[in-house]
Amino acid sequence: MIFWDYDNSQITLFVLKLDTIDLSKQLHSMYFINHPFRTIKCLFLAPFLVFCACEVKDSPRVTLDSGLKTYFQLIQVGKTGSARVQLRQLMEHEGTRAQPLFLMGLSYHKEKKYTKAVEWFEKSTAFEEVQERYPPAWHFIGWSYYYLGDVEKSQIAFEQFLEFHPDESDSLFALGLLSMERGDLSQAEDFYLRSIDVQEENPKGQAKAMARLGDVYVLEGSMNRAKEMYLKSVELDADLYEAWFHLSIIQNRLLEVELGAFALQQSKQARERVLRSRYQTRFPE
Amino acid sequence: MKNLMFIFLFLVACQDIESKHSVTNFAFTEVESGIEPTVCGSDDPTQILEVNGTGLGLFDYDNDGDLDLFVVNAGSLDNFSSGVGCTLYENQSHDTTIFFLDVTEQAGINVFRWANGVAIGDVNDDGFEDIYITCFGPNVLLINNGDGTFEDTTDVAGVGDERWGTSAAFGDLDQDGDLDLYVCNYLAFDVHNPPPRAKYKGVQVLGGPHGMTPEMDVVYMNHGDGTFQDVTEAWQLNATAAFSLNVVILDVNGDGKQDVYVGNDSMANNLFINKSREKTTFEDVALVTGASSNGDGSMQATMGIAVADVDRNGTPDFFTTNFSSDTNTLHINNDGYFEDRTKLFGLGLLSRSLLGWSCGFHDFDLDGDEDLLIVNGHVYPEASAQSMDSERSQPMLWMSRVGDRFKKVSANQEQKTFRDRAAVFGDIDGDGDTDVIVAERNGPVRVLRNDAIGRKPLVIHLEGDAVGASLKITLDDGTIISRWNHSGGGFQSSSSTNPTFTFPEGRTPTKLDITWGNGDTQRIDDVPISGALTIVQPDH
Repeated sequence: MIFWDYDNSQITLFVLKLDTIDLSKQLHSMYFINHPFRTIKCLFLAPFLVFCACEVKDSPRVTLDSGLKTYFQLIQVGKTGSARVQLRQLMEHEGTRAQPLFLMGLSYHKEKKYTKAVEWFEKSTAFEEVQERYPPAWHFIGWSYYYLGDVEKSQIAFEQFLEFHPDESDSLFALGLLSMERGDLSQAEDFYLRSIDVQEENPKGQAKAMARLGDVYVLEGSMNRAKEMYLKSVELDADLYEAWFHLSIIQNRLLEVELGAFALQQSKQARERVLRSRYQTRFPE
Repeated sequence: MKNLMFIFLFLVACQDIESKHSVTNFAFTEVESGIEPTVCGSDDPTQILEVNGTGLGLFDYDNDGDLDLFVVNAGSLDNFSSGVGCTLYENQSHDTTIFFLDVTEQAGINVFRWANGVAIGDVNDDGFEDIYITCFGPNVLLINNGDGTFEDTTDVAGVGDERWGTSAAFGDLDQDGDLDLYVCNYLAFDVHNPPPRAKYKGVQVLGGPHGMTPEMDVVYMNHGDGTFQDVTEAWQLNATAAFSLNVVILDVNGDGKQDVYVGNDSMANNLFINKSREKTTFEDVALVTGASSNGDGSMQATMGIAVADVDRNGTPDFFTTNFSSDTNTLHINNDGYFEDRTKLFGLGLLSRSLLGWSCGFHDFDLDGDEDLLIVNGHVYPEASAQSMDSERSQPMLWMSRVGDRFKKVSANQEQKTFRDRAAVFGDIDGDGDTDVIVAERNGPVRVLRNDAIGRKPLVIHLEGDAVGASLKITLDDGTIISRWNHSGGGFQSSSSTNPTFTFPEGRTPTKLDITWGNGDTQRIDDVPISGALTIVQPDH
């Protein structure tokens, strides 16, 4: 499971547990079922996937090598330059492998330098032998292209990762955002619902998806449903300032002016709490 | 197998049709025009004063029926009065040849200082449009004498604000029939003591605006006798001081009174709704209506503002351009509340690598709906994809309206990148369509002739309180098309042009409802489908 705060690029928890591909999950995932064209594509791809499944015995490892933990921790605390120097030294000694390449990308991702990040992530997925690749890189390629504004490449990367990990909540969430970019509210709703569904033990992740689901309801004109979703969202994560902000606007629209003012105040306070604990890279830095 | 092949070919064909549809008839040609490059500090700016570039004003100064051009110029940091000064060009285009002639000297214009922006409006109601220039230092009011010359009346008028002015806009805010003036001020800056360099994405860049002191905007009431009075406080337009970059004046809520939307740099935008009854007063409702920020409540660095009825509900929506690593924002006006529908209309992610400035909604491809042009360019000379995920020189973003979305098109301008800031829109060559003039910061001014071949537009010339007028044309199927003849919005720039309509295939207009800038209303029942229509405000 990857927990990734897409809004703020904060690595809060990074644990990967996946050993095999479950083909049945791929074929029956809501993602394929809810997208007619992809359903067709899926049918075309079925024989290929069956073929791939035969290969799955030697599927690429997705757990991070314990020997790389130090480098990952350096990145986590923001010592990205040091991490890169050490990773380069490691690769000089031990040869180029997917996971160190991935961590090189992650170091730039942490710095919000997505052009550079994606170069390294793509290297870590470019090995000829499937088992030598590092699949989580696709997830981060997805986010990198998202931040670089490339909807198509972002979507392809997230879909690629979901082929390895069909129930990964953050990729589902990202596909919800991308569906909104494409103007497909129905599909966005499906992805957000599925993202909420698969992360019952991660209230903050659920809250984030619920806030975006609220956005879908606003755009569909269902103000009360939207309000309900924003309320659930801030109940699960009181620090989610954007959900408070959305809630305040909805309550103003529903003429619940005092509640709207309260939510706006909560939004400001949550923003201060969250941003105080985080280095800022918004303009002006 | 044959069926599968058929489905495959059908899907390919559908994709092909869509892509062809999105680029149909969207074509511009850059033409040699005789306009000199703009001047604004050094090529590689070292101080924040230099980064915004300079504006353009497109208007008919000599009332000869074509659009002339005013180019704002600054100087160098060590000598503000160096360079070519602000320049007036007369449009001498004929047939398809576009040409502008420098008439600055004949016009008696002598503005050599650090000038930033321009607003155009007939402040003395004599039928000739006047020029207001925002500067770092005293602003300047040039009154059009009507004989091809201008007179500097800044001191008499009392509008020479000495702070760092960026954009300005005219509007009849007190509904007394003359044009009042809103001036955006940016921040307190000392050229001899600039802020220290700062870091952006780990790169050393010029300092500001963070850590600097924002300035209050200023609003002038026009007395109608050539003098103005500072009424910023009296009219309650004294919001918290902000890094103001742009302003647009129009009737946002359809009550016949002029409202004010102000774009601020990395601070909350303001939406001042005109609450005047017996006394002129405004109330800032941006925060409670969602107009202050993007949909997540994040303050943005608003540079350009474009206005259109994007969702076709009869109310004006705002599109704003922002910094790189952020998206532009489309605020849809829904009963006075502003929904961020940037993503839904396809205007979101594709702007993340761009830093946007002037923008405008116009029916560039003459197909009956309004498209969008955004000009871009980074403020930091150090900007590159590798260092900031955003290049210093950037392409224009041409967005064609296709159904319920906007789609990026090339408009024959692909592969070219610029350091653009200003853009103005209008029919320069008199063929009815909307041409574009774009200015780079400290660089060339490009004239882009619209070569679209499509439906003939209806161009409406308003005589009366035209600035801030709202126009609604009802079609034979009941559809209403809205336009706002607003002042301001172009970054530090002003386009004083005529509202233009192109109607969807097979539809004819049945009536035109106008709400003039002073709130008067008028209905025209005999509306042609194309050509020119002059409407005179009754009792004006």
